[in-house]
Amino acid sequence: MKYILNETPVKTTNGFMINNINVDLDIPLVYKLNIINIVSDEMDKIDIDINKPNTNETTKIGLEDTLDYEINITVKEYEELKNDCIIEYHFTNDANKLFSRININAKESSKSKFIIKFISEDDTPAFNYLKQINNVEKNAHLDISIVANINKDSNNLIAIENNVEESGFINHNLYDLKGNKRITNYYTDLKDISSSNNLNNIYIGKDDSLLDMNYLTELKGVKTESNMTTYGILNDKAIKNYKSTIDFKSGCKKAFGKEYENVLLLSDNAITKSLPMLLCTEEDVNGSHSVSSGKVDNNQLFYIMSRGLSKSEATKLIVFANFNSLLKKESNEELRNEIIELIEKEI
Amino acid sequence: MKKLLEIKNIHTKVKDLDKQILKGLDLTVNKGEIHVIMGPNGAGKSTLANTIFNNPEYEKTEGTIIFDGKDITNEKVNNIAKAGIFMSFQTPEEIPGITVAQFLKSAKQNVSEEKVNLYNFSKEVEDFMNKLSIPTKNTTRDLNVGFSGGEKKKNEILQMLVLNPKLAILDETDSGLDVDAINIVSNGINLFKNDNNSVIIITHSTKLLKNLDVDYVHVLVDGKIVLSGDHTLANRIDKEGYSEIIKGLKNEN
Amino acid sequence: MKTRIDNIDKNIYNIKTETKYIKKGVGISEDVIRLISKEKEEPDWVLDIRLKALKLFNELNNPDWGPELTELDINKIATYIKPETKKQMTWDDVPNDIRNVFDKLGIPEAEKESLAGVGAQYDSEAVYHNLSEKVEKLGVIYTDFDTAIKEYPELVKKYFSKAVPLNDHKYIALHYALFSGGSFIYVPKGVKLDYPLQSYFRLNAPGAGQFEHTLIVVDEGADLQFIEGCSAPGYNELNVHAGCVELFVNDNANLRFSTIENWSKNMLNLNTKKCFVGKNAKIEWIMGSFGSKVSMLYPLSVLNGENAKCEFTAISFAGNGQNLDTGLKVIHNAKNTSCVVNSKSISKDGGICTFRSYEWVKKNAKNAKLSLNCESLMLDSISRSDTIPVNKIETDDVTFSHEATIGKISDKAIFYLMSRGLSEDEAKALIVRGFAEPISKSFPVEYAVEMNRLINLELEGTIG
Repeated sequence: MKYILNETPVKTTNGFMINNINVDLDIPLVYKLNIINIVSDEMDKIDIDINKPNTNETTKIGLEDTLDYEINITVKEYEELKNDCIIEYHFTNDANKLFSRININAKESSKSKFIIKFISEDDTPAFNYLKQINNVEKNAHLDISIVANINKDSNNLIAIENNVEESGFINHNLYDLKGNKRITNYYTDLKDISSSNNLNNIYIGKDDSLLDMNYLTELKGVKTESNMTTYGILNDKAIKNYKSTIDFKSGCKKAFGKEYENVLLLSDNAITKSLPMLLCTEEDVNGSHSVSSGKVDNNQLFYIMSRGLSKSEATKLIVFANFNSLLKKESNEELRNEIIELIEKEI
Repeated sequence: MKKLLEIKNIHTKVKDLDKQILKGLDLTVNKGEIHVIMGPNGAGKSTLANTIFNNPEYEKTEGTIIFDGKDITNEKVNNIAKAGIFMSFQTPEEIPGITVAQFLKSAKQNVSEEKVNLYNFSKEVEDFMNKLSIPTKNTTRDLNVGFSGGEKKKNEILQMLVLNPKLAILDETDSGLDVDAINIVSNGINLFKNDNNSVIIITHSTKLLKNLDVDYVHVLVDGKIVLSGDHTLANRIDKEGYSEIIKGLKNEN
Repeated sequence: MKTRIDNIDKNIYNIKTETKYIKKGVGISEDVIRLISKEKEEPDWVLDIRLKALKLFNELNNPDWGPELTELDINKIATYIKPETKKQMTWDDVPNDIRNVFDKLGIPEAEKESLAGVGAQYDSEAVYHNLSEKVEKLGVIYTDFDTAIKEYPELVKKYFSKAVPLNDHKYIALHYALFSGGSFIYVPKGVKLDYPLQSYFRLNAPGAGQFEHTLIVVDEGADLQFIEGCSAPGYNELNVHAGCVELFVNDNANLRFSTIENWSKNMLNLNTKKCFVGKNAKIEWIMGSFGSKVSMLYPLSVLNGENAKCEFTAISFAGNGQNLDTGLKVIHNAKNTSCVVNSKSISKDGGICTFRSYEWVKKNAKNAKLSLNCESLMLDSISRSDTIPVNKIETDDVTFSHEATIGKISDKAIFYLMSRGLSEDEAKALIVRGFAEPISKSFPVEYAVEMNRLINLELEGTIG
């Protein structure tokens, strides 16, 4: 079926077809659902509740369907998780579709980290649609890493919505490393004073994969701060659309917003499109975006190869150097190593 | 001796941090004197300079500042400049699109409130630049933009000479400068200094003071002047350090 | 002494004159088009283009992005207004009322001092066109568009509507249906002009439209600087400007195209500009946008030849009631092409500035280089400033960077300047002028002065 998804908040000229994405998606019927595993060794600090609601859901991504799972997590007031909570779903040949919603409510002054993983067990193309809604209360600190380790023919759609209260902070690390059609929608509402968000995204596009990212942060409160950073590489015939908007609303005095995108092109057949928007109706702000694209620097390549590395090894090294500033931001060391391994396999 | 500046019981806080920095500071500077304010980091040295200049980022909660017989406690910064006080900034702002020459002329006209004769003025500026070893072609550069730390500080001294104030406050003008640059700055101060004007030097080192005829040295600790003396006090601080001197004071009490 | 605002009479742009007109067309219809065509004694091929464009105008929709344009009712607009004069070769022959307007704008004076040729348009028709003898001898053609169609039909036919097609968008169709006036310039191979040519467009009638067509061909190895100025007095009725500029910069040629746009604040400025750039050739766009109620203008440079270059330098300044949606488009269509963009905007008193760009690096554009820099300054919190750049890159062999910043005048900078005796207003004005300076210095001297004067005028409201 054809879907028009990921509409940008403000339309611009239609020449590059970037205002939304027109995709053909085959949503498989599922006969069996695997269990969502949730691992945490501090169950006294959080409440978890899993339902199988039969409700239809819509998000800013624009897709609508019946939810398979709804998970509600509450991190209790003033509690700090020492160990990260891991949520995992495995796709198999007879359970190759998942529509889930994970709601995290980080209560006042809590601190927690969640890792959400989607893993393909075999070659069956999987279809994953995650709606991820977070409410971050006063002074709470919520950190979420989402990993898509699904096979290359899978489709992956993620819609994130964050609501951040006074002095709250939300961080998302997105590892968008595998799959065919990958559509991500991210929205954060920094409504209160000193609330802030970080979005760190690493992606790899190869074969004929299609990536469409649509990020939006609205800064409404005084002294709010937003950082959205994306590093990616594109190989083969991959196509990537990066759409990112920082919207300074009236009254967000002393707000700071920054969006950054860096694309490394490894193939002459890949296509990159970007639309980094800055919208502003407040005087006293500091906003910036920067985008850079290009291929691996030949001088760097030559320098590394002169020390005995092959071209592919040297390229790998440069790719890692590129990703490094974001990999450093992954606080879970085990996950970081896992991601590094995955990236190595993919390039 | 005639009083030029009189600071009485001044209390100041930093607006953004809501933190009290100056806690009842008194200072009197007479015409013809050079005063040096020294003190450990965070004592309030730069706050003092910004307090005199009524920087809107700082708030005075108590006290008065009288300059040349006028109360300037709540005066706007440009009027303070017009009244005859100059401040050399610790980190001078970079202003793209305005050349040094345009800026000097504009400032001179505002401070002196009369139209400057362009020819004489350029001559005068060039003369000062030569004395400060600043290449005269620098006048066509944008104000402080791309200047090195030393160039910025020399440019502040140049402004002081050109504007010729009654009182110059030099806030850490010597920090980050090499020996040659420090000599140039102290020569600049000597060039400026006469019996009718005064200088307040805020510093944490004594290097700048060597060639200067310093009248008073004040030690500022925790928002107050705790000790004042003649130029020998600076040497004592150099040798003993602040902590020893503060300890000594406590023992005396 | 006031460093800030020179006390300039704002009314020089606002002179309203009773001018005698002989013909008037209102709205858009086949009748109006045939009237214009007949009046101009045009050949059939031109009329055919007009009628084709009329059909397209009726078929095409308003863009679904950018500023709202629904308030424009073209049938209320006087689309063709012919002043009661023929095009003249000396200012003395231009009727007094019209001459007066251009005198006050300083055009004849500038012509004497620093221009190689001047064209002046009043409402729908050219009233003056003159080229210095020296330049004419070099084979340069500079004339109004009607004359060009009559005297150089082959050249005009070869290039007209070849850069900007009739169906590009709704308002270019409107343009081709109603076009009148404008300039035609041809600079022969190898001819390098030392002094610029200038065309000045004045829309004096209320509730009227101006649809001039400017066609410039800079042939191989030639150099040209062209300056375009536009203004109109303020009225309550809506005016519309749907001009078109087609530029051909052939191999090894250079063109610097400067525009100072100061339309009145009742103007919808829906202008279209496009340039084809050949091998080793260069187009420089310099734009200052101060006027109009709504502007939509994004000059397109198509870098068709190897080593072709585009430099784009622009400033826009939106005040109360203004929505200036401007920017650029560039298509890299050959090896080693490069594009450098420097754009600044200032928003105040509820004005809206939008920078919009469209950058396309095609697969064959190996070793393309693009560098874009946008800075927006907000002078208060009732205004708006948006940056909406979009790019598509189809080759890996590219160096692309885009940076944009948005913010206000730094309080620290204001304090620093005030500490040297400047008042707060003076300090602000100085910083704003400094912000605009890299752009204003790209203009020829006299126009930089003009631009500073405009910036000062615009600032008077807020800061003065």
